[in-house]
Amino acid sequence: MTSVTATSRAPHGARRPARRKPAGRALLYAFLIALLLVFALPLLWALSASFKSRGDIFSYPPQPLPVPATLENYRGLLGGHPFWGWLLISTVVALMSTAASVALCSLAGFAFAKYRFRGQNVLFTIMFSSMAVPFAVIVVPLFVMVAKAHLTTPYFALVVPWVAPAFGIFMMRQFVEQSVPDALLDAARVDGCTEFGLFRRVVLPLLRPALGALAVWSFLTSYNSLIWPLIVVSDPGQYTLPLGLQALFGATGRQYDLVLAGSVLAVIPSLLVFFLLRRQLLEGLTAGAVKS
Amino acid sequence: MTSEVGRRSVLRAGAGAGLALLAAPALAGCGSGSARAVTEGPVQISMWTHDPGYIKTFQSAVRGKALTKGSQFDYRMRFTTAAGTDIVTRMMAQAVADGDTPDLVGMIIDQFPRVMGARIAQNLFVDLSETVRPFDGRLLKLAPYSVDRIPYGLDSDNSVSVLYYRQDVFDRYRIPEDVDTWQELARIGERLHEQHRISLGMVATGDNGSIVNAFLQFLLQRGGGAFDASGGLTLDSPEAVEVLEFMARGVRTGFLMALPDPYGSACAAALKSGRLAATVMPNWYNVYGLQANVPEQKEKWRIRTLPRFSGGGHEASTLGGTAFCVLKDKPNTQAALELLRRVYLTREGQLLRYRSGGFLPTLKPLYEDAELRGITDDYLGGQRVFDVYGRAVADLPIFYQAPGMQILIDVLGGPVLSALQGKTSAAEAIKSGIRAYRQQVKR
Amino acid sequence: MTDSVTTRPRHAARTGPAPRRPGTPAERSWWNRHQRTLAPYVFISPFYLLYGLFLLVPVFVGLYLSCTQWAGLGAPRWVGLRNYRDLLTDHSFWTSVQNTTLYVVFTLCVVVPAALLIAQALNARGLRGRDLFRLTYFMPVVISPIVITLVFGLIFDRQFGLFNATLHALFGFGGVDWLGEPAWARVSVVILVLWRWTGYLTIFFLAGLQNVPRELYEAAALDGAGPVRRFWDVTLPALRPVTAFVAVTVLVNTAQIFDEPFLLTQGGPGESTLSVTMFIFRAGFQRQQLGYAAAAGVLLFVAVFVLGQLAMRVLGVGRSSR
Repeated sequence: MTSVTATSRAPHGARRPARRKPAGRALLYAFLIALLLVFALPLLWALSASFKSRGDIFSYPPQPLPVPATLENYRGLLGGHPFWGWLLISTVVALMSTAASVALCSLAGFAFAKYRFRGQNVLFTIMFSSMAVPFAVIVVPLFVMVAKAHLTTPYFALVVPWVAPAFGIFMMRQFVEQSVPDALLDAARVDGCTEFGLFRRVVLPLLRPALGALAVWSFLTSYNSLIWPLIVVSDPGQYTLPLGLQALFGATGRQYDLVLAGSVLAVIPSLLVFFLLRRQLLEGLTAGAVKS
Repeated sequence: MTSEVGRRSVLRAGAGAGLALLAAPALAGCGSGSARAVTEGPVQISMWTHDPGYIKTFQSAVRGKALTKGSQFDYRMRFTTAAGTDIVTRMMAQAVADGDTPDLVGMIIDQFPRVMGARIAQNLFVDLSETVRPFDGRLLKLAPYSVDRIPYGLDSDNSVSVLYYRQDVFDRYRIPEDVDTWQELARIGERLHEQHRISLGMVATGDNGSIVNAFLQFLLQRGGGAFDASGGLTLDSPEAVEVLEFMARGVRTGFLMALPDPYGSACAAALKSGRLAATVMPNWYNVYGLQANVPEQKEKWRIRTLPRFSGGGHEASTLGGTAFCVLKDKPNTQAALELLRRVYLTREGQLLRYRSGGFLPTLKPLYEDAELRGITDDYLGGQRVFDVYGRAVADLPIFYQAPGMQILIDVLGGPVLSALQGKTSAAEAIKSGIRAYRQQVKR
Repeated sequence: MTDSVTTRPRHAARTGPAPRRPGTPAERSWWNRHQRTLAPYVFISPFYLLYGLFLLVPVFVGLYLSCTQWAGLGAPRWVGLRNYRDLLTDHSFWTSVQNTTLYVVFTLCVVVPAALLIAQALNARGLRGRDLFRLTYFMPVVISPIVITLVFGLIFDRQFGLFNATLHALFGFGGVDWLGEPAWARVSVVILVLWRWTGYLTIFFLAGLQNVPRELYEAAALDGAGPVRRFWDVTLPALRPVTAFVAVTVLVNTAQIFDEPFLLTQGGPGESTLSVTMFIFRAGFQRQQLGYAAAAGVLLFVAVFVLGQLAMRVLGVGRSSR
């Protein structure tokens, strides 16, 4: 293979000392840290509250720290409910959706960005239109279809209909357009690369940050989805996490204590995914070093 | 029986016509009616509910055997928990798809109107007329779950509203515990709020459901209501205006505290801070509202029957509840109906229900039952609660619902809130709510 | 980036003489001759397969239902265009349209630029703790919606809330009824949208920023352009495809907003924060007016589709990459 000698770029471009003035830096950090607090506050509150007993959660004036701390909520949740089962199903379903949609969306996005083919505009418009379909309208008919086909197992119903979302295709189309130069593709073709080979060896490496972003999006969309699972999954043994937590919250008197413990634990897989993908998200390859 | 099955397949075909595009091939090969009805022996009842208290009730009923003694069925239970609204949504979706409906379903009272129209209740649920006939007049709370005067659900709880109050606060500020009328209590409350920033009741200002429920709770006590037995709107009444005026004045003077809803964080804060020292709520609020949020205020709270409105009405009110319905034409229908009868319509069952979650009996004579009369409540400082509930039940208003209940709640929430905030007059609020209701209910 | 792609099959012909994999020569050459033409169809086929299987039929059923009266069970009754006619005179529907418009305009004009700004800040060179910042900014979309309800209920409460307490401490007033006063309730929803989505959208902008060649900045810097100029002259043009994508999808998604008003106010007080999607859900799943809900859904679809197409025109999406 030739021309794909794209260079990896260090994420923290520390090649040169920052030229900004220290005051500007301080301002930047102040801004970022203020935002950090704003964004982190609710989770920190939930974390603290999850260690308080039910009666202390809403104490007034508010107590920032859980004193006295208790594991009662976690014990109640893990002992009285199949929490790990919910977590497992949600995570597996989300990972399946993510893997499939990253592959399918980037393939389709590539096609829309870099080929000219008959019917392209119409097909793109159809694809786009599916984003505008209000879910509330199709949910009942879709459910009837899936149920009639006896396909209501979460591993099918929560995955397959959603693995090629228009959102992802559109996103990938835009990113391919931005980051894959045509010259590179042409050069690879000259060297005898097949069309799928182009995708795999030229496009995918250049698309890494976008793939990371898409993976995060897919995972979250699947992991957090509530309404569709609510209707499809009626077997409590196959509940996803949002379903389980929703059931606890919907119980008379709202089981805040258990829900909070569950919400804190539920964050872990998403953060893990984000953490694992963080390099992917930042470390873009550039097409800068294309030999033309 | 055959005619019913026939009607059901017609119904299914009807739904199929609507969804013919997608359902047709599968519909032909599908017939849940083909499964034979279980008439004896082991049976697993699938029950959907939002409340762990009901799970506990049925679990102990089936395990304990005392309640199922002599039954031709050997029961096992399978529970599915989901939030109250979700249960109905899911049940209907499953019914359309001929899928996995429950045998026994617990529907929160404000969700029941969803099945009251378009003959949904008639088509989904067993007509309970025969089941309740032996209790003629002694079984309470069938009205909210009746369609065309035929009952389709049995309530799990009588949901009797009483006045909860902090006895220590009343003592400290020399408030008599037996104030006779709301007007009198309002005068006291006004002064209390002026001097100590403490309120003696709450109104909801959050979501429309909470707003309207709090309003209806007062309105029912005053002798008004939303609907009559035949589903006609009765809101257009002087009582409605009077009650709303009373509430608005209460908010203005601080006698009543405006809170988003009676369960949320703000309410918990109000209770914790001691700024809410009394409130009208049903029996279940003891466990789910007070004990859950302010366990440290144990023994400080008491209950009593509500002060009267000087203009008339009742000594009690009602709010909430959960209908238990049996789904018809399923293999387990007979078994589920039998179980429901044993757990919900026997003295032992109703006692068990009280012990499992504080659910009040719906059989009126039980309020005279020696065992229940002897029950004391530790949280309420050892009070003999059935002395209060017994008096309340003797003068309980009847709550009727209609298919348009949800719409009424949606359209009334805004105007009632405006009235509570003093932006519109009570009369105007009621009028505009009714106008909007008439416009929207047609569909 | 030069004028490109539209170079047609002659490339495919050139690719011809490089077959290394086994396969009869005839097959190889047939595929080689046509792969450039057929590949895009193969690549996009999974979407259309799923579309045909899972979306097309429900969409048509939805269209049909929109012309019926249906409570969710039993036979739908054909009513023609009555639902549409009723919608046009339904005050609640128009309220929801107004509210949704507000949410869309706000998100496009405030949330998207804010996200871009934050992404730019996060992309600063030599920034310490970048991972921590990014992880935290991403938190709001990870957290369970129930926690959002609880926390923001506490923050916005009139008497016991954090916001009013802060206002009171700082400025000596603080009686804002954030959730109970229609105008403030809309502000609260919008604040929640800002909080929940800004950090998340930075992910897309950051991903886009990774592929802006650094040489461009260096060239601009050599020309003496300051940071603001560089942002306008280099970053924005280079990010155009990504910005277009973010703007269009934000438009499409916000037009279907449900979570934020539902979690915070359930559409209240009254109907003052009701969104169109909430209107549809309410009609369908609270009032059992599924035909009416479907009609509202069809109208929403048409509006979102047209607006989306318009936005794509304006932002230059869909036309070939120059």
